[in-house]
Amino acid sequence: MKTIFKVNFLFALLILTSCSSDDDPEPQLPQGDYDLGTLVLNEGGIGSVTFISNDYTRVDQQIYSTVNPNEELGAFAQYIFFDQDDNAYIIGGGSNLITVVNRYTFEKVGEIATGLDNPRYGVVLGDNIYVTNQASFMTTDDDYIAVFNRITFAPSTPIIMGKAVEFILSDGSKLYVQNAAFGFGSGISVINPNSNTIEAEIATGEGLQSIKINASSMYALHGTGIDVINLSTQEVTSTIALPNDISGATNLDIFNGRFYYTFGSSVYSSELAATTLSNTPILTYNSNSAFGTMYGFEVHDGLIYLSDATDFASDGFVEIYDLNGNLVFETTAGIGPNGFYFN
Amino acid sequence: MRRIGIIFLFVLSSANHWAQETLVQKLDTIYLSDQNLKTFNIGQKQFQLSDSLIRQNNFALTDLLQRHTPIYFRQNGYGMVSSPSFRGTTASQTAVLWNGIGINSSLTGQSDFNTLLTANFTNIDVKFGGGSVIYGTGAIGGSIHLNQNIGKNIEEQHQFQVAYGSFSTLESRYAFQKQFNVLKLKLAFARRQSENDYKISDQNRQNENGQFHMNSLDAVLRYDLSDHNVLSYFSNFTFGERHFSLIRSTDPRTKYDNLDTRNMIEWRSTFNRIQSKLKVAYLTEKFTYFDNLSRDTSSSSNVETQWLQYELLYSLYRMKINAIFNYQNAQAEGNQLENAVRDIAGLSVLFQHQFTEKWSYEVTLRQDLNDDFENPLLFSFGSKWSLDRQWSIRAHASKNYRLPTFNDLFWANAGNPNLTPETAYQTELGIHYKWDKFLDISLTGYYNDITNMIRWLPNELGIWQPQNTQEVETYGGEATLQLNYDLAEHQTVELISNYAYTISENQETGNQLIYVPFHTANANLIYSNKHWDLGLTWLFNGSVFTQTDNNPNRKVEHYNLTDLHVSRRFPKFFNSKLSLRAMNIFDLAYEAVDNRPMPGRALTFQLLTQF
Repeated sequence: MKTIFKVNFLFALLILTSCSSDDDPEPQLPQGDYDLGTLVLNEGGIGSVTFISNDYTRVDQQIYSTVNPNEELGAFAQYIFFDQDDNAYIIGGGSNLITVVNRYTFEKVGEIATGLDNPRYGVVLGDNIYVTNQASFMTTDDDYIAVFNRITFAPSTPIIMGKAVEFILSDGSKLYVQNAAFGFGSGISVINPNSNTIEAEIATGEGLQSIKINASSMYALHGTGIDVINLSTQEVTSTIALPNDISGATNLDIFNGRFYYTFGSSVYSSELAATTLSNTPILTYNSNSAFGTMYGFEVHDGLIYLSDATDFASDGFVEIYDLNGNLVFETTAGIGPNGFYFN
Repeated sequence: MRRIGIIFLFVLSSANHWAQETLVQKLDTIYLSDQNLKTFNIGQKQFQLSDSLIRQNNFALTDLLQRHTPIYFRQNGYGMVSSPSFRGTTASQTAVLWNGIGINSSLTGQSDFNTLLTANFTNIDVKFGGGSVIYGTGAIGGSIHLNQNIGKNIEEQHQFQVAYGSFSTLESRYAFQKQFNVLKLKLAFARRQSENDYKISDQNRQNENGQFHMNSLDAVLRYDLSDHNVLSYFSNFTFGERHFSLIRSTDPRTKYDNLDTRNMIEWRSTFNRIQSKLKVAYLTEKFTYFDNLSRDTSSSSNVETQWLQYELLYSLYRMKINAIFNYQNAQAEGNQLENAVRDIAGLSVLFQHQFTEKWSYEVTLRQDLNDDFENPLLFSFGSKWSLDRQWSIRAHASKNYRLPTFNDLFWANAGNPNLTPETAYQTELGIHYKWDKFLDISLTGYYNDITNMIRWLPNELGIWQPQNTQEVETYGGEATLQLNYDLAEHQTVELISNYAYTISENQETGNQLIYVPFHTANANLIYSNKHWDLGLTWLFNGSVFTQTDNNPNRKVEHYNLTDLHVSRRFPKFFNSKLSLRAMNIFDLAYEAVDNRPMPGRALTFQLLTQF
């Protein structure tokens, strides 16, 4: 027994060391000025991007207009998504504009300036770009998904949804669209990218806030809990209850087998297997902002990133914590920091 | 003298007093509805932009005031929404009055200075500092008075004015006046339109979707019933369509249509020492905002106001006492408004005393009655000492207010019925030196403490709601210099210049309010002879913060603009005057608001004729 254990142990050690040497051939070289760090998208007014290097030695504001003088991202920078060729697509929601840049150098590659009408979120699947558009804010009847060729940016026939659209994501084969925005509504539409048609509707709890995919499941945070959805059957298999005192929690993220979510200015965490979500905060930060609290939130690589939009008329700020709630780094960003993206 | 020197150093502003004093004497013949402007103004800085100055400039009220007063304007691109900051206050703390009636929007509390045309007003007066006792809500930073008047006897006259210039800008005006026995009549129509497609060179584009037209149709009637009784009627229709220019060509295209009507009838009786005045007015305000022209969706609001004022003025020796009763009822309808109705009654008492030849003072009080909120007792005290023929000192203190607007109170799902009025205590001290007609210097210092300022902030759900949160102190100084020199017979040189230093500090953060420059200045140099006028105008706006944290990297930079005008009179040819105006002659690229580039050099030819 002992010998076998020893052999196995040594074998495991061998695999581990060889793996690590494969992963780590030499120090990683940055692929541009804005590699090896975090991009913070600032909504604006006019949108801007802040870069925070991974070693926290550099915080650069307004990197897009620094690299591309006399260029702007348009009003209300909403979201960034990426493709397999290192392009970043920055949605300027108030200007019906998507600016395409190299994600590491931030040099402008192109722009999508047609076919958009109050664009919100986007995703790249294969050679297509899918962008949710709310069109008139007065009605959800005209909401649609714009489709563009990833190489030429040429628009193709949009997918008319006829119901609210907001966040969109893909598991590599299907597209999932959140049919709820600004804390109102419920449901997820499943779109088949081969036909660009709605293939299924998944009902969720009311007040759907955010959706995330982890392994073969989707998790949908809503007013009273998290619905667990089996992606192969496209059905809700269970609901993890949200305690009443944090009903209306937002910003669901998943890291290393745990949920992270926020309520007010606090961050909470629970295991994926929990039956009831925790209402004991792992951290609370100081915010004077009502709507701008936790304006951006992300858990990445063992760190919690959060942002605060203050009064939307001055610089917002970013705080980075470890998973135990210890502050690691803080800095100011631009107006209305609303999202984190990792290079 | 040393003391005066010190006050000079610290304190600041005002001139043009003599213009108004001559007018007071003409009150009987020139009929001015807002008589209090001329009779109850002791201690405050005030000046008048004359009829001829109005004719010399384009019809845009923003352009005129920017170049002749120290008021700062935040203009969202040329011709777009324009809001004032007067003595460091916010856009809704400057009252605009039409013949004595407040015409700031009941919805927003402000006036958009690019929807008001100057052309048909006889004169425009600017009163610095608080005036709530007489003019009610909003007169905190100061007030702008748009006046039309009509004399007891007038001659028949036709006046044509047409101007065409850069960016396809066309201005035209026709005015007619005539007397039919005891009935006197003035009619005028003015229009200003522009493609407004100026070049924005550093972005290699033109201003897009900035076209507008504004129109003003005005009438004034005077009917002398007897030597003691005069009936007058004032009417104004202002209507226009304005597109809002884009920051990027992919932005949604929007536009704004407005139609405002103002009608007032007035009956004035004068018997010996008593003057009685009844004014009844009906005002409407309507706008439609198209939020995306490709969709043709819009929202609109409509406000109707009934307005009544009774004034009883009693003069005894060197004293005047005026009691003013005012009642207003306003109702608003709109896509976003719920049950918006308001009644306000107010009583003011004004007392003035010329105590000695050199010293005069006035005391005023006002109390409003209204069920919706607590109504503060407002007051003012003003005094003026003439030290000798040249020097005079004045002082003024007042409490002023601004009521919450219909949007603040009744906006669907956001209006806050628990708001209280903004209040402001202020003091002002001024010194004035006048040497005959050659030199006129005025320095004024002021301090203004504003509490319960209403600010819209997003709540937890992201819904913007108004709250009485802000406390602001504004203080600063103003200087005005006026020189007048006759070079020879029929040859004069005139210089009028203004400078203002303004601190406007949020008491919670200690920061300067956004879009309030520390420094503003302007100067106008005019040479005239028998046939020619030559004018040079300089305008300076200091840099402004665009963020409430006063981030020094997010400023709109200061700018200096220079304009030139040349006119030639042709008295024998229908009393004509031909002018060339060149604005921004150095073709400077500048922004008035962040990301809102303004036009470069603009040329205009104007012909004015009257017969």
